[in-house]
Amino acid sequence: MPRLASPKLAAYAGLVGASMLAALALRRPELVAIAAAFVLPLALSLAFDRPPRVRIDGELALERALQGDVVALTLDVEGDPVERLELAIEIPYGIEVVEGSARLAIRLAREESRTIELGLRCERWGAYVLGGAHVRAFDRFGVLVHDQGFESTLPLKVYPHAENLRALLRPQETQVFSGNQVARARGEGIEFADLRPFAPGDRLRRVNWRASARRNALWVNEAHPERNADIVLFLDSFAEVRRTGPGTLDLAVGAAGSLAERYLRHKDRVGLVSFGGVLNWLIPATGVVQLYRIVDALLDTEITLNYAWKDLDVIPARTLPPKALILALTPLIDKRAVAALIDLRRRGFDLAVIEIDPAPYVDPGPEELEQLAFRLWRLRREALRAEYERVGVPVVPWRYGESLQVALEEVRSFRRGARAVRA
Amino acid sequence: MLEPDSAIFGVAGVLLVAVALVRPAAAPVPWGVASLGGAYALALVLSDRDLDVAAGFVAAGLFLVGELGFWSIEAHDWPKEDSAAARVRLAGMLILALAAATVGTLLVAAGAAVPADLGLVQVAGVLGAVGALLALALLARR
Repeated sequence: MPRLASPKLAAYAGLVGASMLAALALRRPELVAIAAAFVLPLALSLAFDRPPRVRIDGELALERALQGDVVALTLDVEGDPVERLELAIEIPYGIEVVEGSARLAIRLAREESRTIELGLRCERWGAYVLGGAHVRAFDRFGVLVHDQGFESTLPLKVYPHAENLRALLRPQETQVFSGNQVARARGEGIEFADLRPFAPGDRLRRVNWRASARRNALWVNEAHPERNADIVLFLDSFAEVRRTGPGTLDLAVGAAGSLAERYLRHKDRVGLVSFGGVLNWLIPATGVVQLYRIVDALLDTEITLNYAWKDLDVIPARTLPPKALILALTPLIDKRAVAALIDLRRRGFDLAVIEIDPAPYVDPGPEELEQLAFRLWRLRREALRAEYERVGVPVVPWRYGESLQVALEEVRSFRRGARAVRA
Repeated sequence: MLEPDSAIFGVAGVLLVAVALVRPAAAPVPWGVASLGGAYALALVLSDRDLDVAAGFVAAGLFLVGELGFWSIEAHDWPKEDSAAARVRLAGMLILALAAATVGTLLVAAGAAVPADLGLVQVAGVLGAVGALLALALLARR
């Protein structure tokens, strides 16, 4: 541990010097007594100082938790005897201490181990590494300090809460594999589609006897098969708007996690594109493993400032299958994301945009000019939504506190009334 | 009898220590202690007494003012302190204060035994002061 001087060292050394000078100048031996009072702790500290060895072993009760959970962190501190050990435990942003204190001073006696327990509430989703601490060991007289840092080594993944969604958006086209989506095509299935005359090779159990009796010929039922779909969650991570509390990125990540979980449960293939300063993608796949891959990728999402122009060409082709439904979660702030989404539509992708509305995070300001600027900004955003809707892309604003299901229902009602326009 | 000139230094010292505790900031503490010591030194000079036998206790008092001042400021940054650590620290502080009072009283008694106007004493005093500072510096370099 490197040795440092506490503020007391300079202070007491100065007082010793001043007292000695005053004693000589004023010829008063009493002032030597004052100097002696401050020389004692200095001399004893310097003479008997030895750098102590301190070890900290940490343990987390859980490695994975949900947003809002409280996780116990236990630190065992042991080592050489220290009269005063100041411990500052590193708590990253997004984690809050609800039990215990992250800054405390303890005494470490000979052959003693002290256990410090903290209750940490996971306020924000993300991937964290905990257990780091900074330690300062004071000598008996508080004059000298030994400093040491301990690195964080305990991983903790905090997952966003999954919102309970009753109904999901149906894609315009399905894939060839079995799933839970009712396809437009006709074939073997449960959902009735149409009647047609019997053809050689049709199974007898498909014969609609009532229709056959009316027509005096054999007629069979046709059904819509259940197929799966390809869903790509497009996350705009160029920019974020926030105040205190959850920001637009927090809402987007939570919504992406909920949508991924529901679509994967319906046996659909789900992929992810995190389009921002750092590009991250996952090719659509199915199963529980894909859910964990998506959620872990979401946990790594963060805003990285980047001024380079990016378009769809940087995204690998396999990430965006041709008939996939692309669900974009974006605050529509950065021009690169806005342009990429319009480009997706023009390439013929089935696209729906859930706009994480940044307006509630913006303070219009008290001045008339500021309020005018705010109204102009809102009008520009309306114009942007109209531009998307002109090319057949539903854009639905969604705010903190509102149910995601409501936003999905608005998208569904738009798609019901609109016709697909292909460029 | 409290001299007005030394009382000014005393009041300044108290105010500096109070400011240090209220802010809180460690820097004004030694200045406050120095001001209180200056008030005592000025009172000694202005008085007609040869030697003040209570100098050791004054030194112990100034030492306690400094120690308690620094402790209060540390407690502001580190509110959660182990009670055992606090008890040991207080005990150590009181023992050091007692030791300072004892050493101070012995030094004053030794000073009373030697004539003050002896030139050798002056030289010994300077050498002693320099030697003490050198010893501290050597220990610090270790």
